Amino acid sequence: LGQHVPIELDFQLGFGGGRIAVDNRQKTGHARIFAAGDAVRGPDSVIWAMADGQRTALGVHASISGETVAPPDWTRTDYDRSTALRGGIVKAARRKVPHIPIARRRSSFAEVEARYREKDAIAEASRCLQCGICCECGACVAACGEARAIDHAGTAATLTLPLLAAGRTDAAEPVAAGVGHLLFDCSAPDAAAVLDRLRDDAHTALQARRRTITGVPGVHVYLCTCNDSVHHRDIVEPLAAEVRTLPGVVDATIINAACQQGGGETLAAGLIAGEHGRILLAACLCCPLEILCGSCTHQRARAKGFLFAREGIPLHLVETLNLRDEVLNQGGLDRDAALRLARRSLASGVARALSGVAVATNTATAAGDVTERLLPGDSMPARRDDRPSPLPLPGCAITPADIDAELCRGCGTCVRNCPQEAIDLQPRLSGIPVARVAPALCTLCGRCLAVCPTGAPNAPFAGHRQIRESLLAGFPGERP
Amino acid sequence: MAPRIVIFSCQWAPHYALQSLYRRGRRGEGDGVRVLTACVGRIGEDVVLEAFRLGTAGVAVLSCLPGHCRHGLDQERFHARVTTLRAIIETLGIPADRLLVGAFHPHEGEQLAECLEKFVTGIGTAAGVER
Repeated sequence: LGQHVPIELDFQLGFGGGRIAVDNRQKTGHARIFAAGDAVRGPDSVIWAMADGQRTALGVHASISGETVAPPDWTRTDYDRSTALRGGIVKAARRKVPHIPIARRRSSFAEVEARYREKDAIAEASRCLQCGICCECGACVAACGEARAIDHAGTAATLTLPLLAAGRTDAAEPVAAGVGHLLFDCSAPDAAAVLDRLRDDAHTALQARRRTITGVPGVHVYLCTCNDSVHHRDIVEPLAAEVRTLPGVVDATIINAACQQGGGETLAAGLIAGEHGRILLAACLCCPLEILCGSCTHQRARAKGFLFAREGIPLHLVETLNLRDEVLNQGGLDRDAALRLARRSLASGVARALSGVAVATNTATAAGDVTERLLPGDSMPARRDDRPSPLPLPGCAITPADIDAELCRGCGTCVRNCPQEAIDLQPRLSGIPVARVAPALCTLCGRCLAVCPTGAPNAPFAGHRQIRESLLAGFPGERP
Repeated sequence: MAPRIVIFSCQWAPHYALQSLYRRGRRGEGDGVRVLTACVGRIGEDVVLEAFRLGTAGVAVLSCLPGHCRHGLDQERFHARVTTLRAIIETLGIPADRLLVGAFHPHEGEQLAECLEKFVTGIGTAAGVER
């Protein structure tokens, strides 16, 4: 492994030029040993490493089975690369990097290569054709697989995005309640106000889609294998068998990907059919809330979207456990340690699902935002509060962070750390700028709260004010 | 009478660990106040000092382990403040071991309880613990 070639080991590999010699199927001098990557071709790009890997796989397959499989042809025939280079492309030579004079080099240790001047740097950067964005190999289409999320035809299209919206503020006529189809310009001056309205409408529509589940008490555990990509894949089956024996567990099912539409349908099916009252999803999801924080990945957002928005499953019937990150993808754990850890995590998750105590639900309840207040011991808590929840749809944030202008000293730390680029600095009369949050971009991740040296940002149920108020609540007689 | 200790806990791993204790009816923090926050990265020096100002004997800040923070590097941001924080409270005449900074996995409820018990006991005997 690696770039070092083990010449000292005599496996009859065959060497040439200080590297391992291979044939066109990556086979070495030894009939059962194949080599690929930098040890064969020297330091090179990952593109060639992947190509080597593909040839090696074909070679190994042929060696074991005797069957020769032709490599897939990724060559595109319906795409004219030259069209991408037409128009607006000016041929320009590479700018020469200035060097310091030889006379100066003799008497100093200064760097020989000087820097580009600004205009040369801009000119050199302008030569980039952005070709690295996509090399048109088509491999992503195959890798995406059953999701078929990639359209590689490359034809321009205008998309009308479906939104769960029942109306819009500037519509000439009210849109009928239900699923609307709206085009929305996020750059419009009143984008924030329109987004707020859309979110309100979407929330109303979402609530209307919420199913009433009348399942029997009991938890169905779903173990997601993340497209079989987790490190400890081999412990999932024994885990499922053990989980089935836990008190209160109706069944345990292994699913391939909770973040695919089929995964969401599988998760919802048993609840809808009334076969069980709750599910524990042991996948990569940290919380069952309809918000996206700084830790939410695209997959987590998709899983939430399919389960809560598309299938209409109430939040309080779903407990989540991030088994992928906590155990299954912990390559540093040996199998037994991973199994032990997973057992404990799953037992804890099942207990939470049975008792109805969920971390995120508690957090939201503390903020008065959640419609179901769950009590330990309630196997099927009733809906107790019909107030509309301000929790946003996946992908949206309804109550952004705000900045206390009195405390902000305009250092820009929050601007540099905001992963959504939702914060900018606005000038003030004093000359010291003040940070401002763009509501349409803020996802309420709270990163600004963590990095601000003065505690200026605040966010619902996550800010300094809430922390301080919680602290003072423990000291009778103290007032904020 | 002020609560004996104040526990600032992030809502992820240590909260799970504390919950597992509660389910078993065990409470390791004595007569403490627990403040739940999204991430300990949001715990500033000011609220820790505020807790001491209010008269608590000790402050425990519980977080996920390094690399397990759901909010990227936010947990490490608090840990970067600990040295300064300890220096400040010592300057104020409070022993630095009155501040406990701990990191736990969700399943480590027993370890967490043990750690808190040692902390509470240590406050009584002026001998702090660190994990």
